[in-house]
Amino acid sequence: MTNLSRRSTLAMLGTLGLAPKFFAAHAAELDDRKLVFIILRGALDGLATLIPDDDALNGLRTHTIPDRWERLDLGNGFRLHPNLTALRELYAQGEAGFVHAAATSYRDRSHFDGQDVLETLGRSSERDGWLNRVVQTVGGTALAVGYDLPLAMRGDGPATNWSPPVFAPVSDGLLDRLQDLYQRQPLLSEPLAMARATAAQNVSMNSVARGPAAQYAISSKALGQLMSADGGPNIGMMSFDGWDTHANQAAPLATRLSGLDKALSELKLALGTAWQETAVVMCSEFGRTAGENGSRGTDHGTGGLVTLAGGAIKGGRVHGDWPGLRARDLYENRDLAPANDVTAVLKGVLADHLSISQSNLNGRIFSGSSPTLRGLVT
Amino acid sequence: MSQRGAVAVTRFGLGAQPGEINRASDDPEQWLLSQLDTSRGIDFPDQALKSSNVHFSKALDYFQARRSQDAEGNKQRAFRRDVRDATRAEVSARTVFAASTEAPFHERLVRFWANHFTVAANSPQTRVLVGAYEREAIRPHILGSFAELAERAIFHPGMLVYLSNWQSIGPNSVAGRRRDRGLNENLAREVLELHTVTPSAGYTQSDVTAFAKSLTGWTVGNRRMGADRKGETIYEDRLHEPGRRTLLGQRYSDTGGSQSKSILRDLCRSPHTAQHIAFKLARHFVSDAPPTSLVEKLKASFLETQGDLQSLYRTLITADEAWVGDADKFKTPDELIVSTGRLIGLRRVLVGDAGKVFESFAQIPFTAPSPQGWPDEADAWNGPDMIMKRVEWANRLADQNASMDGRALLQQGLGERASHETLQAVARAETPSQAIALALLSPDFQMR
Repeated sequence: MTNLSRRSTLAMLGTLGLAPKFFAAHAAELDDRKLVFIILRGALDGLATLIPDDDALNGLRTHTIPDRWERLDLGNGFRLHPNLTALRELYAQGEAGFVHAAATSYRDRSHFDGQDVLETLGRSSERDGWLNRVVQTVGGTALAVGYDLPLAMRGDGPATNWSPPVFAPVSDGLLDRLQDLYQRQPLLSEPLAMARATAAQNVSMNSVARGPAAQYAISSKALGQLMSADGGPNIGMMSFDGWDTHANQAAPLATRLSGLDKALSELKLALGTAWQETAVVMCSEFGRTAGENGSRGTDHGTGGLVTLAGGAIKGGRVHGDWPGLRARDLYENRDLAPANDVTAVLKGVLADHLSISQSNLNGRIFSGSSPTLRGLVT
Repeated sequence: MSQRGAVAVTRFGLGAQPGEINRASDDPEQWLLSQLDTSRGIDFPDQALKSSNVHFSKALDYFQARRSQDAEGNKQRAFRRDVRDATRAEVSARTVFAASTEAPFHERLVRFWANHFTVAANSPQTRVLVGAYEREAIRPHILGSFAELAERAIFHPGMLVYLSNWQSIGPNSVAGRRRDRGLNENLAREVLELHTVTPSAGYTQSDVTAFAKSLTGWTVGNRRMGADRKGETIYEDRLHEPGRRTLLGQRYSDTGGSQSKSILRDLCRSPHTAQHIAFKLARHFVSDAPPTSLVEKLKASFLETQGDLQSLYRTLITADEAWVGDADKFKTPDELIVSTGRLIGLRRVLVGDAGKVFESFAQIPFTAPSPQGWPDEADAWNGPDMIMKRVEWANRLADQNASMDGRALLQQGLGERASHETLQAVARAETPSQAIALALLSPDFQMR
């Protein structure tokens, strides 16, 4: 859990409104372009989310995918889970797209290790994240919503985390006295000052969230507000938990997908005009099994769903290859095959949306020279 | 009350219960030493908690049922509920004990070692084992030798599962020649890197592989192996990679299961291990940048006594460097919660939902993010959001308990370690509630 160095602390102070002149001096080369990475921890069932019109599916799933007539038709051989109405609307407007059957290089099925790979992408020995390397490359700052800094955001670049208040907001009276009391202890005085600066952004919060799906919406709204503020971070990240649907998955998945749908709406609303320049990439550490298990759920798999959203996205299509669901198309006889590479998708977004060079992509942010999936960004 | 008494209680202990600084002040060193009574490990109230083999057996049954299409909905719910309840019981037992024990120095050491030999809940299998692991492998063994503690930790089912050794198979073993599964190097790597000698010993990848091969065979009993072995650590020779090994220049004959134990014993005796443990102990107790002289003393003690832990603790307690007045260690969330609980009672501390407090402080017990364990340095815990969470929590706590006296909290909680500035700030607070919040949030109380 490495946190900010003194220098990056100051940079962060700047971007959160305390020292606009400082920020201007270190302005990102990005101008208004923004990137949001959302990690769905636990391995989302991509097949039940973006459902292929494939007859082979009938033999694989009975209890875990909504009936055909409920699904939201995207008109291209894929349909969305019925609860993803906002996402479907974005798709129709060309502001959302997908890459199905995508995976990182990781082929085991441990969440822990899979997420480590997804967050470090080829450089796990250094315990720093690819998103932090992005912000080191393009400048600006990065912000994660959550109680601590996710691995993808850790490193030497200026990244910090924020979470909605758990208890009632604190009076300025107490905060002023604390700032005074902390004068001689920089371990406390600096972070307190920064926290107050963020609070001054007037992020409106209803801190009482009923259920985890409501949390997604609250986090998204907050992230949107923080990123669209003057001098706000260009890179944002959120972690949504609870996708590991091993048993009786229909209901919990439906609830979570509703939450996710609401979250995307809230994010768009809160970003305001900044949405036009934003690319959102959302994925899990891996997918789930093509077929159901004996408990009306699914188990850990390989190929998973990547969702793209934002005004900057070339939406209205499902990119990449579709491997199919016949027995011989499956990976190890059980999983949707990894026909597409998550790293290639990220490279495509980073290259085309944030104008990051190939040499930076291959040498600095990721390792190796896997291909770049182009055409994802307008 | 004395300065030294206050240091003993707040730095070596887990924070002062009312009256504790007084008690410790007569003879602070003796107060600490008396807690190293070898019977201490057994006074943890675990009657209501299940042992690791029971937990693991149930988990094995559940996963088997789920695989074989045999698990109805209510079996799932029952299992998941059991796991949730068990986890809560373990966290609760541990936290309540820490908040009330009269041997807080002993308890701090248990936590130190549990963190050094981290086993975390990163899968359903480990989730059911973490609490029992700490109680069975660590707690009873922190007063003997480091080598013994290491062996207990590394060969406990919790560790074998967490670092995947239970599924590691020697490629040339009886099982390996028939199956697709192979060698898993996780446990070997972490024992070398984190638990014992560290990369400073200059071990190579072939050393890691050799150690991994040596460790094969050590697994956890399943159904097929018989009811009495289910959930227990066992050595299965048919999984073991046969052969002699060389590790860091030492040769080991082909002795099956005891080969890896011999290797571990030698690793525990290494000067690199002595250095590593000495540094970690000094950093944990005294400062993120501990004085070299203290580290040297601890290292020397470790080497002279072949890792006798009581001698090591004694060396720590009797070192002048360990008693310097300034509080230089930032409390982790767990330490903050426990120390506040000791001072004012745990019930008041866990405002609202207990789980929420741990979660919002980003330190849910038993969920360290990696085998490295929870970080010990301030900069992992003093991010802006984390500080604000502490402020909000203390503010709420203070509001709900405004009848307490902030000045009394400082006196009982810190004794002579309460600085003039803090005393003044609390005395000048606008309201009793603000006084309490300022006391708990003061640098003096946030550090130790």
